[in-house]
Amino acid sequence: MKHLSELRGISGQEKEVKSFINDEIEGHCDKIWTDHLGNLYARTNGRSDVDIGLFAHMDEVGFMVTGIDGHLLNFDAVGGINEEVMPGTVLEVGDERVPGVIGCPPIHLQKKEEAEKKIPIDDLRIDIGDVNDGIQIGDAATFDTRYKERRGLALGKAFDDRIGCYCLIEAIKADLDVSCTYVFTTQEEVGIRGSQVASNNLSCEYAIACEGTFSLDQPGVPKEDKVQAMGGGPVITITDRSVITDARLRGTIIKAAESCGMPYQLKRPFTGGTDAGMVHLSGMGVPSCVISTSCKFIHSPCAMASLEDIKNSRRLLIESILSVSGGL
Amino acid sequence: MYETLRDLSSALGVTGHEKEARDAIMRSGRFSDCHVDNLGNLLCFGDHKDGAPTLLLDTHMDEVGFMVRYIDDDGMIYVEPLGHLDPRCMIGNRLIIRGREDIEGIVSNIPPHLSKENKVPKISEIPIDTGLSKSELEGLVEIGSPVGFCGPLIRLGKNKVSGKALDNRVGCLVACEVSKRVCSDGCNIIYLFSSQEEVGTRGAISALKRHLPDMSICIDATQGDMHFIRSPITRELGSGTIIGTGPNVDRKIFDRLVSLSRREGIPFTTKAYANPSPTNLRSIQLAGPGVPSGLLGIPLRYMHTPTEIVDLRDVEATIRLMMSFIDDIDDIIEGGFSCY
Repeated sequence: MKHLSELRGISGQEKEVKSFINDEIEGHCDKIWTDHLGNLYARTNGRSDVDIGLFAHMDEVGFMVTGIDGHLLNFDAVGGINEEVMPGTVLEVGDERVPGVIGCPPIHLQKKEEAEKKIPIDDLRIDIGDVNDGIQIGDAATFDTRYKERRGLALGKAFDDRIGCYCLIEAIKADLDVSCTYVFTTQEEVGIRGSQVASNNLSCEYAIACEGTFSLDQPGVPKEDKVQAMGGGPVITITDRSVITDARLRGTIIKAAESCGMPYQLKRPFTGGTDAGMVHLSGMGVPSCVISTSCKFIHSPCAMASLEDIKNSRRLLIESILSVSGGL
Repeated sequence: MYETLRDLSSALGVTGHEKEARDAIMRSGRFSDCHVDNLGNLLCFGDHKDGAPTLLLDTHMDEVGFMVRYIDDDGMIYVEPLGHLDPRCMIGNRLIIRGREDIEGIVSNIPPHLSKENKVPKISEIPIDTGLSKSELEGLVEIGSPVGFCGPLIRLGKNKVSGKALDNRVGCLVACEVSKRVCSDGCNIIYLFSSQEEVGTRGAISALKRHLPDMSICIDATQGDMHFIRSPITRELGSGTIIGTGPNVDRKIFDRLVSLSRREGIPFTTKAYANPSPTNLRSIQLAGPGVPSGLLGIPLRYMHTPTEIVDLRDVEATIRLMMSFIDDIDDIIEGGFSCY
C-alpha cells in the first residue's frame, strides 16, 4: 500500500503505476498485455466454469500545468478536486518532482468580504520559487503526501483507487486457479474512459470493480445519508451514478462476506461512478458489481482508511472470485 | 543554514507552547548562558563585558496555530486559533495535535462528489478528524492541547524554502547565526526569543521588565510579494533585508542601518510604518525609560499559512547587516540617540 499510494499517476500519465504493478504480478499470470489507452491486462487461466473480469483504476486525481509565468504556474485539476483543499498544499511537479506549493494570501492583507469567499482555481498558482526550464505545459503535479500507518489507520494520497489496485494484485498473487482477466485501467477520474476501451477488448461473463470510495460518516453529511463509513467493512454497491449492480452477483458477494463473518455495508446513493459503469454495458451486457473500501477525504491531499477494512476488502474480493467461479 | 532552519521550522512552538522551539534554538546558536522566564521567553547571552552597553536582539519564536476547544461524541476535534489565521489555508491539510503523543488530524472536507456549499466556514466550526473515537482520544488529547501545521521545510528553487512557522523562525535563525559569528568586544548582547508575539507581543512585554537594554534591534518576518495582492507594503523575495522606519524606530539607528548597508553593499529596501509596527518592537520601545530601537524585516510570502516562503539570501543579508551594526556599535552610542 505504501508504494502504491506514493506512486504518481494522474489520469493519462499512469506509467509509473503500471510499471510497478507489472513487476508485482509477473510470474503469477499466464499473460500480461496492454492497449492503446494504457490499460494493463493480466490473464490467469484456471479450471473455472466462467470467466471473470476484475477492474481497478490506476489513475489518481491531481493537477496539470496549463501556463508558466516565471516561478508561478497556472494549473487545472485533473479529475474532481474541491478548490477549498488546494491552498496551503505541497506538490511535486513534472517528472523531476520539482517541489512547489499552492499559496494562500495572508489574512492580514485580505478585506473581510474577500476572506469569506473560497479562492477560485483561476486565482491560485503553483509557486516553484524560481524559474525552472525543466517544467513544461502539460506536466503533472501531484500531492506530496507520504503514506503512514498508525493505530489501525492508513493515511496517504490516491487511496482512490490504489486500494483497488492493491486488492487486485493480492488476488493475482493468491494464484486462484480461476479464469480471470484482471484489468488495471486508466483515465477513470476523467470520465471512466480507460475501461470503456478495455471492456470493448474483453469478453467476460461477470465483472467486479474494486474501488476506494468516499466515507459518508463525517460532519456536514445529513444523518440519513451516512450509509457508508470508514471502519464499517467493505462496501458492496447496490447502485451509484453509473450502474445498478446485478442482483445475483451482489447476492453472491454478500453471501461470501457473511460466510467470512466480516462486516459489510451497502452503497446506494446515486453519486460517484466506477469502471463497472462501463463494463456492464459492454458486449451483450455483463452482470457487474463493485466492492469498495470506504475512505475519508478521497480527492484531497490526504485520505484516511481503516487497515481492517482494506484487509477485509482484499479477502472479500478473493472469496467472491472463488464463489463466482462455479457460476451463479 | 538550510539545515538549521529546517530544525527551527520543524519544531512545534504554537503561541504559549514554545518549548520545542526553545530547544531547537538552544541547539542552533552559541550562547554562554540561557534562561527561560515565567512567560516562556528564552533569553540567551553572549560573553559578558563589564561596562559595555547592552544590545537586545529580539525575535519571536512562537508560531500561529490552534488549541483544542472541544471534542464531540464522534471524536471530532474543534479548535480555536492562536494568532491571526485564515481557514482557507487549513482545509484538507494535516495538523499535528500535541497531546500525550503527537496525533495527526486531517482538517475535514467533503468530497467533491457531494459538496455543494460555497461558504468559508469559521475556524471554530471546522472539525479536525483523527480517525479515532472519543474514547480512543481520552487520555491522549485534552482541551487546550496545542495544534500546529505540519512540516517539513522544503527547498523551492535555488535559494528559497517553504514551510510552516518561518514567521518568525527566520528571525530566530538570524539571531542564532549572529551568536555564532560575533566576536566583537563592543557590547553585551541579549538574544530575546520571545513567546506569545502572535497574540499581542506579550512575551516581550514581560521580558523587558527584567532585562532593560541600552538599545534594541527587532527582527521579524515581513509581508513578501505575491501574485494575489499587489501592494506597496510588500517586498520582493530576494531583494535583501528590510529596514523599517517610522515613530516606532529611532531615527539615528535607522540612518545607521541604511548607511551600513550602502557601505557594505548589502541589498536592502526600506519600509515606513506610520503607526507602531506589527512586531515586538511596539512594546520594546516603551519599556522602562524607552528603548532606542531599529527594525529589520525579512520578506516572507503567504504569511501565516503552512507554506510560507522565504529567500535565504535575504536571511544572509540580514545577518550581515546585524554583524556590521554590532562591529560599529561604539560609533552609534557616541553622542547619544536622537530619538524624536
